[in-house]
Amino acid sequence: MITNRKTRSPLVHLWAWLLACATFPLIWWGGLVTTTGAGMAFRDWLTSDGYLMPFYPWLSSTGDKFIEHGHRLLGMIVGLLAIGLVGITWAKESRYWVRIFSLAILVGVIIQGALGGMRVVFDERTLALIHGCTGPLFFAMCVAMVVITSRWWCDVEPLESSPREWKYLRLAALTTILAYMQLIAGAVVRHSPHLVGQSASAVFQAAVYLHVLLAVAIVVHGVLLIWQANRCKQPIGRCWLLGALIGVQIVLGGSTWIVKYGLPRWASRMFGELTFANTADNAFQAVVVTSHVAVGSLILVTSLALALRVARQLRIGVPETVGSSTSRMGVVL
Amino acid sequence: MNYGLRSICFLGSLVVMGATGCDFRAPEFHLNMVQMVSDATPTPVEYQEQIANVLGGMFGDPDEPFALPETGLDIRRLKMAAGPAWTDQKGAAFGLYRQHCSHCHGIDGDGMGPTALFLNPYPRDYRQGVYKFKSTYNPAKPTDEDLHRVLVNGIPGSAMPSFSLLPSAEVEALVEYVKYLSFRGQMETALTNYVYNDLGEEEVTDENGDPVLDDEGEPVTKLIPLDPENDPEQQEVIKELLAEIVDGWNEANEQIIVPAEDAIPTDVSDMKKFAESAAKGRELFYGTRANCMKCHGPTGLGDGQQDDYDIWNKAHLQFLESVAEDPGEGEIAQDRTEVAESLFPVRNAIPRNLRKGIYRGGNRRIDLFWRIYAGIAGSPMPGSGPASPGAQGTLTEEEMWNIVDYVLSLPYENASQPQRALPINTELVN
Repeated sequence: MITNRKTRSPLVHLWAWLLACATFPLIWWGGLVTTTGAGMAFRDWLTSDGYLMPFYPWLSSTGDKFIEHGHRLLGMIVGLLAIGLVGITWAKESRYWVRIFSLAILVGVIIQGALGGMRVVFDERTLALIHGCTGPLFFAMCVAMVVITSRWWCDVEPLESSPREWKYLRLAALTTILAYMQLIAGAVVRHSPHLVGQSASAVFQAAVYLHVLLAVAIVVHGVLLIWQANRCKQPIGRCWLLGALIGVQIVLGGSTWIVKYGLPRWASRMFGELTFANTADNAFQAVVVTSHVAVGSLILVTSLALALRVARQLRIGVPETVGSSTSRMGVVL
Repeated sequence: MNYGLRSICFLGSLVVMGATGCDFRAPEFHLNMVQMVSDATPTPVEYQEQIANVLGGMFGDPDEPFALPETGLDIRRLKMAAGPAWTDQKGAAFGLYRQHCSHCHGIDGDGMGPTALFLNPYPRDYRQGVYKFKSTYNPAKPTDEDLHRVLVNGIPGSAMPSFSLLPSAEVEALVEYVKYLSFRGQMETALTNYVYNDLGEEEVTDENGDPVLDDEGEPVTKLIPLDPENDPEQQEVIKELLAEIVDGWNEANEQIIVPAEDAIPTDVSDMKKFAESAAKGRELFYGTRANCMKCHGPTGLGDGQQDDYDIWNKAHLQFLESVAEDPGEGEIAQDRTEVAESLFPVRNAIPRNLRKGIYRGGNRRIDLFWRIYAGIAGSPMPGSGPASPGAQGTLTEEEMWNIVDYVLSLPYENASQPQRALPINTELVN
């Protein structure tokens, strides 16, 4: 145990927290960019209206320029933090695979930034869609870094492998996969209406049905996860947090549709029509829609954290020959 | 940005977009295929291409709109509304239609944008130039002010939001673009009718003017091309067709329904007078002259006749029925079946539940007056006033104001005491 403690550095963990905390606003600010249609506020990148990014007079800008440039600045900060993470991890962290993972995070932020930039340079909505899908993936990597650099990761005693634990792990992993698929479906729902190809309608319709179907699947998995956590004596609090996020997300999802498109026909017949017309691009709409995006990312990282923790307890990925010179990846996992 | 990095990013983007099936083609306007393959105006593929070419010459494309000076459309506003969405360095927004409208109303303004299937009601198809909520006589076009009002207020109870937060210049640009799409759609219909009625096949002649015969001795025929660029006669016809469309829109301001001063109830805050007016309106509402009960039901809940259609759904229904009855043969059958499959499910026009106080065309007294006077264009709601200036209506203006007052009081009326259906109305309802 003492050996394990020596392998981790609190500074790396702290930095990973910093990166994750900076990435979350970046995610929802990105959602705000899409919600408000501010993605093409500038037609240039890496510059903003000709200014190098840090020198653009952001605080005196307004509207879509303020929103888009804010996103760019946050992206820049996250990029710098990712560079810092690599430096600190390579200096302080003894686990080779964690150091490699920090590099992967840096590559991730570079790809994400380039995708965002190319979306602007080519004015291509499909790239915006992909940028929206890879954003939460990067956030998930940052949160994974927080988990694997934590003291708990090094100190936790291995669990005796039992079918219940494995079932819990499968559920958590499946919920993570479903949550990510849901984010992709959500990104398609958001972006496909603005595609100009003939297939945009079919893509949007398929994405809406898939989004609803996945929402049902995630609710079911959330409930099962809480039930299974109870059965295998896993900390229940985090599962309830996930359940609460899913509940909030369902409400936000319904609200998002209503503030964007009003009530569907079946709902108007059941509950009556809305008595008002939505106001396009108002603050309420922006908050509701963007919150839906942000909470979606939180669901992803919460379920990922649950899966990683139980995987660690079950010592998944740790070769039986720990310490063997043939297994660098396995050393002091 | 560094050239090398940019190239790498470009190649990466190509791979990503290729993998996701993205195409780089600029958006195009499409023809109204229901019109092209309908029984009324079956249009051969050659003519479809020629019509598309003529329309392209007259109106440009979604990224580069164009309008002939005769249309009176403001090209500066059109360019502001058209194309992909972006903002210039001064903060002026462009591509407004693509940003705010096309996801529901479609690039062509056909009301079949990506989200349209899920919306209630379906978004408006601009191509016929028929608009529901306006201040003009039923067959007349809306004024710019009418379109502006719908954009700013939105349509309560529908997916159409209010664009009240957009700067006025942007709303005006959108109004201009909506009109442009209507002009284009109407011109397409006019050209289709022209091709069907006045062009068609002609016999091929040799250099002596004698008909060329085929192997079986039958005269060889060819389609008279729609080529106004090289045919001055066709050019004139097209100019006339365009002038007719433009005149319809230009005359809208002369077709505004202005209520007679002496018929407007002077003081609506006088509860006694309002109650008297509403009582008269109630009699008319359930009576056989106005016969509002036929559709809005004996309780005003909109539960009367439910099986009628608006003109947009009716056109689709008729087309679907004709395809089901006789799809045609060979390629025509394939085209007709494909078009039929691309249409949304046909929906009935459901009369408004007047007890909720939700009025899609606006809740001012004048809005309701216009609805009762002119009806709702394109929908089964008939007008009770004259169809055009100087014509005779079913009700007097005073009576229409009485109905306005009754409709405004309906949300507060006890629904448990509805008017009993008169025999004639019962028959109509059933």
